[in-house]
Amino acid sequence: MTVDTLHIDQVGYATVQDLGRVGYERIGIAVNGAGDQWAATVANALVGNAPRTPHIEITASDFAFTTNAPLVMSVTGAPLTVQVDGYARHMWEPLVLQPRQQVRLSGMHSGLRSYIAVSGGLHATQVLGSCAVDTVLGIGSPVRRGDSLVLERPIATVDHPQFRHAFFRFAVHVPAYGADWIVPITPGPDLDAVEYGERALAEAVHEVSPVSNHIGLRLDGAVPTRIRFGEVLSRGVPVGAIEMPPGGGLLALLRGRHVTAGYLVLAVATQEGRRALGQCAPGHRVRWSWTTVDEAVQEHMRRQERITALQHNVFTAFSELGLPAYDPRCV
Amino acid sequence: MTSVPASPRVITEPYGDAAALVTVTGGEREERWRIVQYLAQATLADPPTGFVDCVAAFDTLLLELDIKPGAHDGAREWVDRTWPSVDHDARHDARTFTIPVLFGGDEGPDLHEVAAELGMTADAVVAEHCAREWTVRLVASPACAPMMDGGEWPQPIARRADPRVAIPPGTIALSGQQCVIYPLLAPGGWRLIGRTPLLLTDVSEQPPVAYRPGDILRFEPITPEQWRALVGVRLAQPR
Repeated sequence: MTVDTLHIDQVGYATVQDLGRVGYERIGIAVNGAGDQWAATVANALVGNAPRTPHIEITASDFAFTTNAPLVMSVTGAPLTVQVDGYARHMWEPLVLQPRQQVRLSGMHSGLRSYIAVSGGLHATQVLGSCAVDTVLGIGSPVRRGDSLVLERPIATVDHPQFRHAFFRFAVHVPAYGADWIVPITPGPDLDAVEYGERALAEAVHEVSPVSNHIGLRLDGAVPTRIRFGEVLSRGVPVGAIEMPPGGGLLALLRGRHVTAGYLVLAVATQEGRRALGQCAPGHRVRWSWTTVDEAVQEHMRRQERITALQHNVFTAFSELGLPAYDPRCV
Repeated sequence: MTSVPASPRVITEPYGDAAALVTVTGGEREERWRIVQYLAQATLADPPTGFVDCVAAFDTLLLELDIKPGAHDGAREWVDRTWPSVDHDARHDARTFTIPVLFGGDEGPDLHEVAAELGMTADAVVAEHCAREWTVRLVASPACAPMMDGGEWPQPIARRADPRVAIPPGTIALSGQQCVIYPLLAPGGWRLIGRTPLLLTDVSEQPPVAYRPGDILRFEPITPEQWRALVGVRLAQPR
């Protein structure tokens, strides 16, 4: 019996990820998981998967694989060129692959991370309920050339004219990508420890330093003047916290952060802001846009409705073709 | 003159769209920490609506929440309703763990420097460190590191000016009157005095770490021969 796999023909830096390891921050284990949670969730939704299904995250590099099984796949996240056996295909929609077809992704730009989801998901070792890469705990490892990633649930051969029709193109909300990011933020607990903090961030432009990773972005640029001194005891910090370390510049905490810190926290990026920060590459510029917690929650709810609608549409379309798919009504 | 501290107050404020920060002010340091721990424990049995996870520290609790309308109000009401039940007289059922340590040498490269700064001999620093009961105040990053109080050094121990990039797993480090063990390879600026061969964090186990806030860690010197016999042995729950 042959195993259904994706054979990796070319890779720069890519990992198998999910949405993160939830529930262990109380003992200091960061959530980690896909840097752009929106793109990862949409990628899975487009192929009929539940949101937490293991997928591939590609960081700032080219990627190519050959499948030995029929499957439905999708590519989302930072813009790049998608080719199947040399023919250009679209991102942000389901693509049907037949055995022995090769997928080639190249020329990523205007972002840092792109996502590949495959119907049924990839087989991945689960540690504490997740396959998310944790570099501190040594969980997960980069995908290498020559690897065979095993498909969790192969599908029967799909050959249906519907897949070539616009009907199968779902209206997906594709957020903005680029080299200039506007990150919505809400006030942090130490905003009043600096002078004119609100105005200072509203007027600032920060540049993402090369000394950045999945733990945090170092942001070079002007910072407000500290006016309230005194020790900040170590305390929990959320993903998206915008810290002002004493050494200058700002730090934006990402999903691999240490769960406690003792720096001033001026602001917290909203869910949409965290998505943007997860796509910021070195040299990109960040501007800050103040919002309220209520407005951020409303914005998230609107996006969540879009995801649910997409999952529902995919479920309906896949069901007609006899393909298994995640049903958002059964949560 | 002794001042009577005001009784504790607990404030819950939004900390972004997906979290709330609970801050305890007033009262004694121990009292504040106890309220934070009580709330963290309460999330296990009776969590607020939309609860995702929490991070308990010294006088703050980070509550991570689903992004939903009303989540912050719900969290605040839960905190206001829950914390007054804290029993300040209840003794935490603290367990005591003994950590075998190879002090000094390559395993504790800062031991002699720290001793010189304190005006003590290295042997006296080791004896004093092992005489103390260290209370785990929080279990935090990296990788379930126990942050402990309990030092009674003649002066606070200074941090290094330039933090190390890679500290080996099991290293015992000091700063101020605090102590931490780095369970896995990590960067850090604290002063390194020794290293335990025991495995503290094991993600293949549930729970991945044996100690919890309130537990006591004691340290005991070992020889290189004893070290070899203990390498990779998991720190077990006390009987």
